[in-house]
Amino acid sequence: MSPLQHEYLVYLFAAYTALFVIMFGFMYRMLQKSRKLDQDVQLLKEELLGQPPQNAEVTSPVVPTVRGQGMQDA
Amino acid sequence: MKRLLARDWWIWAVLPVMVVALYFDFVGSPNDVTLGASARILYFHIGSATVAGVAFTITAIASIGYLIQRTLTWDIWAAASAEIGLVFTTMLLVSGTIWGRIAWGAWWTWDPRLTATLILWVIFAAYLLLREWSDNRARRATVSAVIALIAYIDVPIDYMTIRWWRSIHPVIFTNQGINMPISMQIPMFISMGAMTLVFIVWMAVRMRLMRAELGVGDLKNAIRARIEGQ
Amino acid sequence: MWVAMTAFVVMVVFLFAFALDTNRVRLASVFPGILWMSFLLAGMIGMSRTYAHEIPEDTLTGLVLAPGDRMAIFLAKLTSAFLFMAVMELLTTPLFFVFFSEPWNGEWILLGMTLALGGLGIVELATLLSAVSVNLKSAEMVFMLLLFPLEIPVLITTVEATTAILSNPVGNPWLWLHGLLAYDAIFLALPLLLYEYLWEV
Repeated sequence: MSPLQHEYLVYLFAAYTALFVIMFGFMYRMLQKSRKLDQDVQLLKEELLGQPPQNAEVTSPVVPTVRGQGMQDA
Repeated sequence: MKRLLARDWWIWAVLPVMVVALYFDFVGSPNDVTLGASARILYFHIGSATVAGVAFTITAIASIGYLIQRTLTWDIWAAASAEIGLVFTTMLLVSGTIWGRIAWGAWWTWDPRLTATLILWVIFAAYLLLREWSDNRARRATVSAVIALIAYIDVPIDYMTIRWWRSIHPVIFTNQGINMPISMQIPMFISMGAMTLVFIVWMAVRMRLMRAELGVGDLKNAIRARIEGQ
Repeated sequence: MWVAMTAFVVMVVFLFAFALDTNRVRLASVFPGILWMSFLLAGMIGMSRTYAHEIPEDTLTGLVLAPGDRMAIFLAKLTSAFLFMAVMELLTTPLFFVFFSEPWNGEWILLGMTLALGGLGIVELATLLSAVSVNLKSAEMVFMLLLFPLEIPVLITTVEATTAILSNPVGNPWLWLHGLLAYDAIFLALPLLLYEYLWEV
């Protein structure tokens, strides 16, 4: 194997190692973020359910029942 | 240790497998007789190809599942798998062009195999782009499922290109067995295993994030309904 | 619709005739590519609104409510699109031969088959994607983003088959025609499997 080839091989090794490291780091950070997000959602849900709605009759949102020009993008 | 366990310890299981794969790719295997050291590119190349194929197959199966059962879990499976499959297809194309430069003397040729893989990449990139442009969850899931099934047609075609047509791409897995010496099969299968493990862990993490996103969406709707109600 | 498509292709013929200097470029080598590129773009322009023009009057709802199979609606749209495409191809293909002074070697049947199968392939994909994207916010983007990569096999096989047919002596187009036939069959069978889900979105 020529010295140049050996140098290229070292680059290849570095590239593959970097790829694995980046993948692992990415997955680890994604895991941390999603855990944080889960906690936040849980917290907010509890807070929301804790306070009862003040005006019970009108809580249902008004939903248009006729499908027309404006609804196609919904 | 307990702290480590609580922090989703299973993700650490990937690291030793990665190290073993790297060891066998670069130290524990001989140089190829004709290709020399450049054959070492192929271990990752084949691993990425396997994972990409598996990932898109999971997307297609999950899309069928969604169309039958209409539960968003199937949609999450399809989307996460397509995303990761696209990343591995990118790795496949990049490692393939580097190897092609050494073995064939050109970065890219319009060979059937290469063309089919590039089409696959473009179609699934379009699929993922389209997912971002729709806001209604159920409609997005249905359209995406149909599009994924249309896009999946290219996967078997891509797999068979080098067997049907005269292609310059080498064929490793044939009807007569594996076209490779044992000493090179070991690193190949270890790389394949490592890549598959990365895929599984990535899927788990990505799907968890997608579920969290769904939770945020639900919360947003609940808050909006409450504000509009008051 | 076929009038618009034909006019479009005629314009493309003129533009190509000026863009490629007929004295310097060996047109025979790029002729099949120009031919099929024009047909592909014409098909895209003609078919992208196959379903979309049902929206303003909401006639699609009427069609879906009408007794009968939804598949019939899809097949009807496919058939009409194919006929438009065929008429357009019949009218403009002679123009290509005249303006690019391409020698004609008399292979009527083979060229006719390639035109029919290629037109069918273009139209099948365009109709299917038009149906998928009909109710989407960014329908045109969806349509184009997916149509172009999916049409590549049609383009490759038709261009190669046309090259073989027009070469002198005549080459063997059957390998490419078989591939095109298989691709056409796949995209005829797929909507039959998916039609239940095509429009409920």
